[in-house]
Amino acid sequence: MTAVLSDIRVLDLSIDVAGPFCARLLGDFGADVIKVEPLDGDPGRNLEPVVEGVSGFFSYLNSDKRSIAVNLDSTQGQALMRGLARQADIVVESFTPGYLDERRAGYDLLEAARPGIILTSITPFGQTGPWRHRPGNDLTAYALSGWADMNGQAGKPPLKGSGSQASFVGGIAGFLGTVSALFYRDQHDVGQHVDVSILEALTEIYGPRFLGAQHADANAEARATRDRQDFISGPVPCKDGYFALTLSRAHFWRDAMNELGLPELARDDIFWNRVSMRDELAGKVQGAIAQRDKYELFERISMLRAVSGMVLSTEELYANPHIQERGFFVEVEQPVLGRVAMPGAPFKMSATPFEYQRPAPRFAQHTDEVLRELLGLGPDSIAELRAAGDVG
Amino acid sequence: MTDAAGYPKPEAHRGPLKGVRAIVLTQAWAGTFCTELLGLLGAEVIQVEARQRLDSWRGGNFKAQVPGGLRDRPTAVHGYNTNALYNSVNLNKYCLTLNLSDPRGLDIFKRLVPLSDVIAENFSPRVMGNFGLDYASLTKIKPDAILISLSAYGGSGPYTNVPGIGGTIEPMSGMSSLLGYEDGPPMNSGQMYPDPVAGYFGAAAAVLALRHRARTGEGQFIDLSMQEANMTFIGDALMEFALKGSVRPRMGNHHLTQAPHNIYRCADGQWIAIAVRSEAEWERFCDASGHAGWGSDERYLDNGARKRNEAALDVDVEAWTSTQTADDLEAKLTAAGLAAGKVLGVGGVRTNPQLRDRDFIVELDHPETGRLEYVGVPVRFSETPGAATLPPPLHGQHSWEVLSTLLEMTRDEYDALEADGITGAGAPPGYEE
Repeated sequence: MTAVLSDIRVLDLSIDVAGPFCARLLGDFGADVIKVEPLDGDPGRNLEPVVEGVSGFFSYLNSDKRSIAVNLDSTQGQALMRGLARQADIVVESFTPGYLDERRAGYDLLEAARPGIILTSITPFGQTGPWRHRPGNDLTAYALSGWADMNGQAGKPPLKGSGSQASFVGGIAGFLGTVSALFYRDQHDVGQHVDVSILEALTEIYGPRFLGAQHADANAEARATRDRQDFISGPVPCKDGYFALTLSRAHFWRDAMNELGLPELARDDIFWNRVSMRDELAGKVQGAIAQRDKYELFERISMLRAVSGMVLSTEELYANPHIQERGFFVEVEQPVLGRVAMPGAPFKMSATPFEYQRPAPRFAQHTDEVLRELLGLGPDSIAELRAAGDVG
Repeated sequence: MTDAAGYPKPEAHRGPLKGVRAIVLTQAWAGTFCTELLGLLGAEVIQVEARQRLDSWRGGNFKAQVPGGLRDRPTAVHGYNTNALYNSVNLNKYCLTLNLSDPRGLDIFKRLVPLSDVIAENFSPRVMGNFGLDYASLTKIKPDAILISLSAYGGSGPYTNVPGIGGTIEPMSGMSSLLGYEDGPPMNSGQMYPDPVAGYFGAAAAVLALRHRARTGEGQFIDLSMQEANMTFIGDALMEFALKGSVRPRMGNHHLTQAPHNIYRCADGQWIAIAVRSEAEWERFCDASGHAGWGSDERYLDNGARKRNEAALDVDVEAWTSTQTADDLEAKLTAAGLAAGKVLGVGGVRTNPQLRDRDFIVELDHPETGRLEYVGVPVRFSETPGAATLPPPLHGQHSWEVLSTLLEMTRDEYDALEADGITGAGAPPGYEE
């Protein structure tokens, strides 16, 4: 079986979460991904959880890569970078716009070194526009995209998505853009600069509310609107955790109310008026859900083909029989961390499946190997470069 | 690649996927967003919609009302053509209606399959098989078919036929367990976040499959479980459990290690997001806020101390932000090179100067809703800029164009099919509007 990206080499200059996630996906599908780190390393190496000095998050974001360290502030380091680019198909980066141009490694020079190269830049605001140099992170992306205003509860502060959601969205948008540019290059021999603004990638998925406000009369406060609808879809408390009943059709409602022991509520007219009847319904329905165990209730509701969900914790996901049978978690031997059951394929491809190829690299683990393999440098030249602070 | 069809195709098809044709049975959000992305990147996307049972994002039935804000527009007459949910996630598509439960409708679909590069759907996993359109059957019609199936839990495993939507995938993927205020219950996002996450992945998977087919001639089946796609986005929390056996708590707007990192109330009732990510940024923050004293306060001496004293720090910071407007705060903090942003609602997003400057927001004319603004292409390409040029299609708007162009159907044949409710535009016969 030939991996779909088996002929592709990637230089991953990005740090933290968004760019590394994009580059790792390229590696998962068979590309040779070389992580080009600054001499002090990707700061992502410190992301929690850290065990014995090794970051589990970094290991997740940087499996299927080799690591070299190159000093892009030195003339010789910049020459090495262009030399590596001659052997590459794709460069992924996340610097402030202009940073690579100042180091003689911007799109024009990369394209001169390797005609047809694809440069994918994933940054908070993109390569152009008045905010291109403005700092940003997940919190500000949530604030500026509309999502923080929409998340959370009325009367409480707006709420960002958990963890690094905005960065992941930027990463997957970058991956989509990169493979699309590659598909185009395959046919037309033309590369390009792929410019991902994390703000735009996140605002893209704010689209329904963005248009909805133009269709509706009033732009009601987002968090208040939700509170009225969510008295059962919540998620709301059940006996051993939290449960979501999202009953979008009248017959789901009837079946669910009967299952909950509330036959007097199993009526179509109540379903259609459930939002305005919230105050009289919420206590009864929530009270019935509170008596039930989540797995038992989920199985019963699912047998009725109605739609529900259990709030599963990370611990419960590892133990979940469906996830286990699908083989989502993949055991990978990582340096220092040992064997770890890592989150696996985002989708299953029948002919060219996702595959963990190699564990995350130690810092600069492959500097010698890559410089020898790609640039034909011998041990003496590499020692000189290292002594001069051009590589690490 | 298949030849371009004769119906109007303006510059929408300039993106990197120019020349690709997708015939898709996608609906609601995950599936339609997946295939909208293909269209925004230049593919020709023909969305096949059920003739009798409307997409739930069109409102689910032919009697749905036109939304309030559009009632003064004389052109806005059909609820199913003026639903903001559907219309927001179906740009750059053509809409063909087919009744797949009728053998004639199914036959038309099967004649379109060989003309397509990608087929996509997001029914429950059993549905395609019921139509005789499972992957094995499709390869009999087109040996190198690419089928992308997006479902709640994937095409195998004990939950495979359990129905799910964004509002249940969010809890089932671990997302909800991590989203919420520090002292509050697990929450779902404001709008079915797992759907577009799955859609982004689905579009990327389709492009990978297209590349593989171009290189080897081999098609393939893609089984996308929305649950799994979303679990990859909480990889850090999953790794934390795998490595430490600990379950990450809900953190509101706080950061695991950095402080201050929160959304604070301002004098004008607005909110401002502020993140201080290093000691250098902390110094600049103390200066910019006029609180040099914080810099020498031992509770805030370094990031570790600030994180330990985060509650007091948040009180101090909000005491300052609540004396200023959000606009002033944003200007002051960003000028100091800090990550800060006003919390924007729709109005603020629509007028955001950065999004405007990059033409991310586009205006499109829709036959019923008129001229409105939409979010555009989420990735920019220097050589092959895609563009959002086609407004969301009316139900069945391109049925005649697609069938006459791709299948060389005559008007008489089409009219007969339309009279029998096999295809057509608008509500089918017998379905009152």
